[in-house]
Amino acid sequence: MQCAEFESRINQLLDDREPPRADARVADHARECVACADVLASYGQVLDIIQDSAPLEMDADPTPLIIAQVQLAARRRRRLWTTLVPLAVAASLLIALVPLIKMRLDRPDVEVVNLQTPEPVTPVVSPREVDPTGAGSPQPPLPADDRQGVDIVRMAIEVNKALAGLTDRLSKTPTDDPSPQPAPGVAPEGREWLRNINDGLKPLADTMAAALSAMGRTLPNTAGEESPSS
Amino acid sequence: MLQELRELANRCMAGDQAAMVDLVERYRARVFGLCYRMLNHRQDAEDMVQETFVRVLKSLRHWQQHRPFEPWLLAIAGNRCRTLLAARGRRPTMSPLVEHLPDERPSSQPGDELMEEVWLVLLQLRKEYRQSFLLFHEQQLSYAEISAAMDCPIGTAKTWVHRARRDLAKGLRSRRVIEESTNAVRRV
Repeated sequence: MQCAEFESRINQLLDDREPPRADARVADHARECVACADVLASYGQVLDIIQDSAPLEMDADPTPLIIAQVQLAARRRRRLWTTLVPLAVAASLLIALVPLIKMRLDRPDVEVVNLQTPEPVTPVVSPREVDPTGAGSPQPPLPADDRQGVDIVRMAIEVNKALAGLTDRLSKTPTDDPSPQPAPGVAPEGREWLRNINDGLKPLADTMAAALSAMGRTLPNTAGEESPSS
Repeated sequence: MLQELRELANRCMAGDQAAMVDLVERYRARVFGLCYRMLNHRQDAEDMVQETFVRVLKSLRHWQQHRPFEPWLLAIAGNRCRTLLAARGRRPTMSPLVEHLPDERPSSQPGDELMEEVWLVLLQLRKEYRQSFLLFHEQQLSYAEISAAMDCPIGTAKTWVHRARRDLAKGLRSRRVIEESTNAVRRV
């Protein structure tokens, strides 16, 4: 064996978890070469020490501290969720309502009417849409821009209905229960969430209702759009 | 063994305190051994043990249960230690008086200067070499497990262990602590 391959042979043996000193070729070369014998001795010494060293002991048992930290982290995680969920609900509702609020702001002169008692919708009919024969023939289709506007208003009315239903359901939850004892099945955090959501939704629903009512009253009668004129 | 560990892990994830205690007590000596050898500072090593187990218990769901648990655990411990070592490197050094306060506890093998020398040389190694060397020789992990634990190819893990051995042996020779062993080898 050459000196060049001596060290790699030792590494190969150690990788296989075999003692290099027991290998005949390695031992033979170590007898002939002082430098390689030093290398072998140093490897052996290092590994003997590593393997013979007694397991280290900790001064104090860390287990109670570890468990306490894990539990604290779990509590923090729960608290974070109780804060984030209502915020996320409120944020998503706001994002959904931004176009409607914008419409309301763009038309500040509209009359504010409560949607809960809707007034009958008076169709706006332009003179060119009036049938001169009075035979009640279907109106011509609205221009594309108008149709789009009508669709938006209708969609908004549906959204508002859903919102009103949600606020109604929330208002019937145990959040309004004045008794200090929590309602069965509803944790105090849950009651707090529902109260927050409800408080956030009410003004939004009111604003939407006012805006939509005003717009709804100017909604054209587009019933004839669907059927082709005869 | 792995099945038992899976059950233990599942109980920990379900919030079972007894299971958490069991897990910590089962592995804390090994984790402490690695941390202490990596950091050469008892208090830091104890802090790292605590930090490692907190992290492990919080992220047990990330352990792929078909894989061995120990490499994953020791990888977390090793990473914590390497982070601390890197932070130590950035931090201004403490005064020598504080740094070299003697540890007054009786050592596990009193008077074993040779052992002290080996650990001293080990601490001079690059931290990747040190960690891979300790994982292979002290923790008895395979190269595949070391590669998974240290997030490196198997060849790299092997190279690191080889270099650690070479540098350790070289360090010991340069400190002239191997002459008697050399003679012993010569007598073989």
